[in-house]
Parts: sequence; C-alpha cells; structure tokens
Amino acid sequence: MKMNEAPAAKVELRNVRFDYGSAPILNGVTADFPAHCITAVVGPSGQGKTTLLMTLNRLWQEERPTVGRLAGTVRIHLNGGMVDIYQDRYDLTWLRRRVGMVFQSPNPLPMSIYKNVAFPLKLAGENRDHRMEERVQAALRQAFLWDEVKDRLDKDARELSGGQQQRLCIARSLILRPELLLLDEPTSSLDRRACEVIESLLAHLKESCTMVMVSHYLEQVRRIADRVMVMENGRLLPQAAL
Amino acid sequence: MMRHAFKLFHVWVWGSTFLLLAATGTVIGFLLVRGWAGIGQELVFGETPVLAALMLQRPVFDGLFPAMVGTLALVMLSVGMALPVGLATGIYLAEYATGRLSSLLSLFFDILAGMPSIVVGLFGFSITIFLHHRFSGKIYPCLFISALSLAVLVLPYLIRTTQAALEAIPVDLRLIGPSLGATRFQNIFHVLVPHSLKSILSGILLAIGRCAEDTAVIMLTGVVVSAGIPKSIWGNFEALPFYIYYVSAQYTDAGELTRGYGAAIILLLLCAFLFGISFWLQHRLSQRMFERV
Repeated sequence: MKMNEAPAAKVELRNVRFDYGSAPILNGVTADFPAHCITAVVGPSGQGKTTLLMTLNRLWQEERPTVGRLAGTVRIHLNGGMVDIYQDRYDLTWLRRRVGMVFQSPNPLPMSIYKNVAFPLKLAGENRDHRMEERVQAALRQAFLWDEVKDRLDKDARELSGGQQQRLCIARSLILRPELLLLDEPTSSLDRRACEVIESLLAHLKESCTMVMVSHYLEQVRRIADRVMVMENGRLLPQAAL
Repeated sequence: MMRHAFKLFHVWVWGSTFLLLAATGTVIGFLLVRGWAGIGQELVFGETPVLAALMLQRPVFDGLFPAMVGTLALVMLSVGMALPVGLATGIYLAEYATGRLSSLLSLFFDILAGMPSIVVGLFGFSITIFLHHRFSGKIYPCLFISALSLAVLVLPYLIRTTQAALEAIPVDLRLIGPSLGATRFQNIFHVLVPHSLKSILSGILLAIGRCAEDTAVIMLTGVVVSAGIPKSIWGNFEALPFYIYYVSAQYTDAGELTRGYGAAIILLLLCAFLFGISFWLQHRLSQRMFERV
C-alpha cells in the first residue's frame, strides 16, 4: 500500500480549554485544520502551542496525567470518519499510530538506523521481516534519507548528523502511515542547510498527510505553510498577517 | 571578592576530590602492603590440592576458599532476591504511584535505608526462631535466612535508585514511546528502563558491595567460622567479611593478621569481579531490551 492511499485527516477544535492545575493554557480554542495542508501555529513562547499539539494526540495525558484538564471537543478525520478523540472507546495507542508527532530536538533511540525506523512497527506487532524491510525503505525514502543511509542501516542512529537524525525521526513517524503529523518546531535545532531539506520534505508530505506545525521562524512559515494561525493568550487567532 | 570566592570554591572542589582519591588509594595501598605477603595459593586453598578443592573432591580446612564460595553464594542469592522486587517497586513508585501514596512510600523506603544492619540481622534471627517454632524444627540460621535478611537490607537502595533513575528521564525522551503508539508497558520496558539501566546499575553495585561486606546481619543469621563449602541454602556457611572480623578481633600472631589483610584484598577482588559482571550484563541487557520489542 502506498503512503498516499491513506485517508487525510482534518481537525476540528471546538471551544477547547486546557488547564494545568489552576493555570489556564488554552482558553477556548476553536479552529479547523484543513486536510493535505500545513497549518502553522506561531506565537511567542509559553502561549500553549506545544500543548495545543499534545491535545491532538492526547500526549499531555502521558506528561501530566493528574494535573491536566481538557474541556471542549477535538475531532479528527481518521479511518474515513470524524472521530471525537476524547471518547473513551478510542484506544490511545491506535490514536497515536494515526496521529504522528515529531519533536523539537531529534531523539533517535540508541539503536541502529534500521531498528529506529522499524521500532514503531514492531511496537504495533509487525514481525514479518520482509514486510518490515519494505516499510522501512519506504519511510526512509519518504523522509529523503534513503540514499544517505542505505549502505549503513546497521550503524548507530546517533552517528547521523542533526538534520539526518531529525529526518530519521520523521521517517520513524511516517512508517506508521499517520493521517495527521504534528511537528513541534522540527527545525529549531538544525542548521540552515538541514532546515531546507526538511522544509522541502514537509512540502512533499502534504500529498499523503495533513500537518500541524509549531514554528518560531516566520520566514520558514511563509515558505511552506498553507495556513497560519497565531496563538496568543491561550487563543488561536484564525489568520495572521505575515 | 567574587574572584577570591570562586578561587576558594575551586580549591575546595578539587581538594575534596583529591582527598577522596587519596583516602581510597591509602586504604588500598595499606591493604596491599600489609596483606600482599599473605596472598598465595595457601591462603585460599590451605594444604588442599587446588584442583581437588575446585572440583569439591576434598574439603579445604585452613584456606579461604569456603569463605569465598560462601560470600559469592550469599551475594548472588541476596541480590537475586532483592533485584526483582526492588526493580518492580522502583518502577511502581516512578511510573504508577502518585501523590500522597508515592511520598509516603518513598519516606518509608528512606527510613528502611537508614536502618542499622544489626537491627535487620536481629529481624532475620527473630524470623528464624519464629519459623523454627511454628513450622519446622529443622529451620536454623542458615545461608537462606542470611540472604533474605541482606535482601531486606539492600532493597531500599535498589528501589530508590530505580525510582530516581526513571524519574530523571527527561520528558522529551519519556514521550517518544507513547508518541509512536507504545503502550505504557512497552514504553517502560523498551524505552525507559533500558535508558536508565546505567543509573540503576549504580544501585545494584551498591547492593552487591553491601551484601559482600556486611557482617552484622550474617553474624546473627547463619555465618560461622568453619562450615566448609555450603552444601545447601539451609546450611551454615563461611563468609569473607566475617573471617576478616574474626581474625582481626582474635588474632594471636602477626601471620594470622596478615592472612586477615589478605582476605580483605580477596574480598575487594571478589567485589571487583562482581562489579565487572554487572557492567557487562548492563551493557548486554540494555541493548537487548531496546531491540527486543
């Protein structure tokens, strides 16, 4: 199955409020993120941009399960239908396999390049070697990394450069064929050249999945985002005049 | 003013480190000087032929071999008992327990860690008496009871180092597994524990060292001067720390004291051997845990 056969996601946020303890982080966010687009969320630090991303795969529940509190509706188009992801009947592992996430700093696990990319697939129970090899190769190609690592797949992933490591992390997310990809400042720790490669990669990925990207770099946002939203005081303003 | 304060701080930091290194070097050097003359085949095997002793064909009466085997058995048994429970409890405290329960349990284990070993020995001895009267007249102080008591003694170290190692994992790393669809169990066993194995190892080393050196606990729970190689976990046993204590307290000539120093060197070497094995296991295990999903 090719990656672009996967159904794209569309996100609907309706009056989403999020508190860490008594501190309000999201203050009634209402927004739509269209399918096959890169929606960039910009804004000053500490405004809740990362928290917003984490509400889309419920990852905040891992970080601060006891103090976080969410109200409102978060619906994502997954597996051919709109899904209210906070309904209990949706398994968290299923959700996070459909909604991938790439973090600010590259975070390869201390294992080989191949095993890093195959890791999520193994977690999902895939044990057939030939199937895994196909998927690893496809994901690495999609992340523009295959040609650079095809001869050293058994080498430690931490030996790669920062930009390559970040593309490896993108490949690791892509191997599960997510319908929505969340990107938390994916180029903030990279040099200009590595940024350009990743920007070009993200522009290509639009064909296969929808992306929501947090970024501080307005130049970058101008170059690759289809839609820009500004996070300010816990609210997401629909359009930014950049 | 600040420059002088910084210089003073610098001297203090380097001085403390140097002092510690010098103290360690002095202790080891002192042992080597005093005990090296006693080191030899005779110290370990007495007059028994080495091969016959190693094959357990002939008992060793006047050598340290039974005490070495006893110490090794004691350490492996007690750490073997404490490790699974310690790791599991540490994981529970770091990953599952929340709020007041977590604080309460942490406090409890801190108190347990501060308990004098003689009290733990007394606890082991009381358990033996209880079991002897209630269950079987054949139960006496033995290797098993000693190992059990030592396991209780080192449990808090294992629990707290495991807990601290897991809690020290940065949030970014903690979220990798879940963000890739890992269940909580998968995240703990394939990402978090392998990542913190190095820190957990320090707790294991501490436990090994404590089990190998503690005398107070085993004195009350099963060690004797002359028992030979332990035939089962229900029998008495010899141990190096007790031999060192016994010799240094009751030596009659300089030669006997030199044997005591020699025994101390052997105990250090035994610990180094066990530490080496732990490092090797940690390296092998962390890779396997990462990769065997």
